[in-house]
Amino acid sequence: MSGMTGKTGFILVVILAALCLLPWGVSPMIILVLTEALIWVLFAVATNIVLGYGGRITFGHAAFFGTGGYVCAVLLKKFGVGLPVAIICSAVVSTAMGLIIGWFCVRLTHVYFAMLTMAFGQLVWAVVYRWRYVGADTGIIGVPGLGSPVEFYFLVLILVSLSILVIYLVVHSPFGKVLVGTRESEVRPPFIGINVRRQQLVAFVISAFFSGISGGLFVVLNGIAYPDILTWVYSGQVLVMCLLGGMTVLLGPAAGAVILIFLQHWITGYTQNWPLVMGFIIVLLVLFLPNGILGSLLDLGPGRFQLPAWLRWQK
Amino acid sequence: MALLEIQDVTKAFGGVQAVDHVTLSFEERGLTSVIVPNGAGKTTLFNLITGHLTPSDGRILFAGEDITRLPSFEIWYKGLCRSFQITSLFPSLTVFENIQLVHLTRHRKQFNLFQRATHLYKEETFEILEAIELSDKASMTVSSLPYGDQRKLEIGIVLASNAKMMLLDEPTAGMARAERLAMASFIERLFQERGLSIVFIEHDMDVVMSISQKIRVMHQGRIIVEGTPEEIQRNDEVKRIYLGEQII
Amino acid sequence: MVDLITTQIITGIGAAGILLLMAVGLSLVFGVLHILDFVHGSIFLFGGYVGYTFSLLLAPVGGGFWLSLVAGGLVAAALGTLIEVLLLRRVYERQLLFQFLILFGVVYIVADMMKITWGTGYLSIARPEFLSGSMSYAGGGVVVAKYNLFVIVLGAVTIAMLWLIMNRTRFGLHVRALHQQKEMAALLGMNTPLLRTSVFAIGSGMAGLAGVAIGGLGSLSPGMDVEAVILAFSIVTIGGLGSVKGAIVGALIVGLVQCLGLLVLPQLNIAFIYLVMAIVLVIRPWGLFGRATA
Repeated sequence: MSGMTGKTGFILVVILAALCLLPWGVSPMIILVLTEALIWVLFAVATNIVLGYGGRITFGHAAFFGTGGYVCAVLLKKFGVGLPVAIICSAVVSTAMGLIIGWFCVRLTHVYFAMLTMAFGQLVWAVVYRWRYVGADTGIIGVPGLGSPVEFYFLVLILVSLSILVIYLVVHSPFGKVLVGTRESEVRPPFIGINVRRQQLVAFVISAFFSGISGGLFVVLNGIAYPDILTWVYSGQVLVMCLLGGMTVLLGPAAGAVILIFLQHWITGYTQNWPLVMGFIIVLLVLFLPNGILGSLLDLGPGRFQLPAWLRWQK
Repeated sequence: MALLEIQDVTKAFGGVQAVDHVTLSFEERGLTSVIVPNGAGKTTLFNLITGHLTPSDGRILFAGEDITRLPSFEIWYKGLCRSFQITSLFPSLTVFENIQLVHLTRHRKQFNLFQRATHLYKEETFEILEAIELSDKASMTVSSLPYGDQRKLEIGIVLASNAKMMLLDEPTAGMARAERLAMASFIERLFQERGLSIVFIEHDMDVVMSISQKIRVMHQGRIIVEGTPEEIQRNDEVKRIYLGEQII
Repeated sequence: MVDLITTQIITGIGAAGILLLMAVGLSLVFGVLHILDFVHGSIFLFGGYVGYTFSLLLAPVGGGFWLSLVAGGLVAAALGTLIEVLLLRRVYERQLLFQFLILFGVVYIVADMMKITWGTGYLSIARPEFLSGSMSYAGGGVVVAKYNLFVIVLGAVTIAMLWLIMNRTRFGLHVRALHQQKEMAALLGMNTPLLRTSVFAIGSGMAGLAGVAIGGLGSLSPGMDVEAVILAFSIVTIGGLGSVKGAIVGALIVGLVQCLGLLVLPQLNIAFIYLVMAIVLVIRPWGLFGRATA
C-alpha cells in the first residue's frame, strides 16, 4: 500500500472534476443514485480502516452507520436542528458507540472478535426495533432534506471527499503503518512496543466516526431512518463493496461501492432478482477475484499489491 | 550489577514444570548463550522474561526494575528486546518498512495521525539495513526474501530496537550448516562493533562454542552448569546429557 | 401464576426443540469442518418450504405431514451437500472473511430462489389431527399445545439418533476423530472430504427437519432464514462453538428465556438474547462447553 504517485493524483483530480461537472449533463435520477453511491463510498472506505488496514473482520459495522442515521433523523425531525449540527452529532454518537463496542471487541481474537461485532450489531438493532421513540419497526419518516438534489449532491461530494482525504492522511501516518503492523503479524507487534488492543481500538473509533457521518447523510437522502440500516444485511453489503473493489487499496472499497450501487439500480430496473445477481457476483468474486477489481488491476504491476498475508491461504 | 536478573522463577503448565526455580543473571556487555536440549523450557524462559507469560513464582528484574508482571510492549520500552525462533516479520511489508516500523514505535509515534510516514526515519532505517547487509533489498517484500535474509531481518529488528539487552531465540533455526556459522560470526561482529548485551538460546554446540563468552546449560527446567566454553566442553554431566540425548 | 410459568416453560422447551435441531447441526458443522455456516438458516427455511410442497402434493393421499418431515430433511441435506461440494470445499483453507462472504452470497442466491418458487406470503404446513389442539394438566391450569410436545419429542429423538450414530458406528468414530485431529484422520486413511460432506449433510438435514417442524407450528416466510441463523449463532455462542452438548443447553436456555421473557419484558425479548451472546463472548468466548483453545 504505497502512497500516492503523481499519476494517481492526476487521475483522482480528473475524477473529482468530472464529479463536479456531472450535474449539468445527467438526469436528476442519476444525481440521486450518484449521491447514494458517494455515501456508500464513505461508509465502505471507513469500514476498510478496520477490515483492510486493521485486518479484523467486522460483521456489525451497520451499527455505526445506522446509529448515525437515527441520530440525524431524530435531531432533524424531532428537534428541528440544522443539518451541520445534526451530522456532527451523528458522528459524535457513532464514535462513542465505536469506543464502547470496540473496547470489548479488541480484547478478542479474530473469530470471536467477528462474532462479537455481530452480536453488538444485532443488539443495537433489536433495541431500536422496539423503541417507540424512534419509530420501532417503522422508523422515522419525513426527515427533512436539504434543498434540491443537486445541492445535496454537492454537499455530499464535498463531505465525502474531505473525509476520504482525512482517511488517506490517517492511513499513511505513523499510526496507519503501525496499524498495518498489527494486521501483518500476530506475534511480533507487542515485542516492538505496540499495544495491539489500543491500536485496533483507535482504528475502530475512527472508522465509526466516518461510518456515522455516512449514515446521517444516508437518512437525509432517503428521508427516512428505518431499522434495516442496522442489520447485518447492511453490514454484509459494505463488506461486499470492500471485496468487490479491493481491500488492499484505499479507494478499492470506493470503487466497489460505486459499482455495486449502480449495478443495483441498473439491474433492479430490469428484474426483481437483484439479490440473485448479487449473490452470484459475491461467490464469483470470492472464488476468482479475491483481490477485488482495483486490487487486481494494480497487481498487474510488480506484484506489490499481492493479497496480504492475513488474507491468504491459511494452513 | 547484573542487567537482567531472574530470581527463582518457576512456570508450571498443568502438572509440568516447564521452568523450575531458575535463578540466573546476565551482565551488561556480554555475549552469553543458554544451551538447552530439546524441550527443556527454553522458549518458556524467554517468554517469561519478555512478558509473553507470567511466572507462577519468582521475580524478574531488568536494570534494577521489577518487570515480572509487565506486558510485553512495556518491557520493550524498558530496553529488553527479543527475536523469534520462528521468523516473525511483517510479510506483506517491505524490508525497509519492517525496520522503519521499529523506529516509529521507538519514537512513540504509533498514535501520530497526521504526519506523512513514508520517508520518516529513512536514514536511521538504512543504517540498520546496511548493518545487516540488506540495504540493496530494501524494497522487496519480506515474503519474497530467502530464508537466510529473513533471519537477518529478524536480527535487524532487534538491532533497530536500540535495546539495552537483546535476547535471541535460536537465531540460526532452520538454517543449513554453513549459513549457521555465518550467522554466528555475524552476531559476533555486531556484538564487537556495537558493544551490545546479547543472550541467545541455541541448540547447535558449534555455534555456541565459537562465539559465546559465557555459557549456561539448561536441563529439564533448571540450570545445571555455567562456565566458559572450555569449562563446559570438559564437563562430564553436560556430555552425558547432550550426547545421551543425541543417541536417543 | 405457577401454572402460567409452567405453561411458558413447556412452551419454551418446545421452542427450544426447533432451535435445538438447528443449533446442534450448526455446532456439529463448526466442530468438524471449522466453518461458521451462515447458510444454515437458509437451508432451514428451504426444508420448511419443501415440506410445504410435499404436504400439498400428498394432501389427497394422506400421511402428508410425516412424509413432509422426511422429505424436508432429505432435500435440505441434498442442498447442503451441493453447497459443500461446489463451494465450501474451495474455501476451507481460506480466511474466515472469505468463508463468510461466499456463504453470504449463497444466502442471497438461495433466498431469492425461494422467493421465486414460493412467493413472499406466509405459508404453513397442515398438521395431522392428533397433533392439533392442546392438552391440559393440573386441573386445567397448565395448557400445552400438543404440537409443542411433538416438537420436544422430535428434538429428543433426533438427538438420540445422532448420538447413536456418533458413538456406536464406525462412521461416527471417524467423525469424532476428524473433530479432534484433522491431519491425523487423513493420515489414517479416512476419506476426509467424504466425511466432511456427510457431516454437513447431516447438519443441513437437521436444519431442514426443523424447518418443516416450524412450518407446522406457524408460518414460513422470507426473512426467516436470516432471523433463524442469527438466533442459532447466538445459541451456539452461549453453549460453545463446536460443542453439541453446549448447543442443547444453549437452545434450552434461549428457548426458555424467550418464552419467559415474554411474560416479563416482551419488548426486549430479542435484544436480551443478543445481550447474553455479547456477555458470553466478552467473559468466556468459548461458551459454556467450548474449548478454550478454539
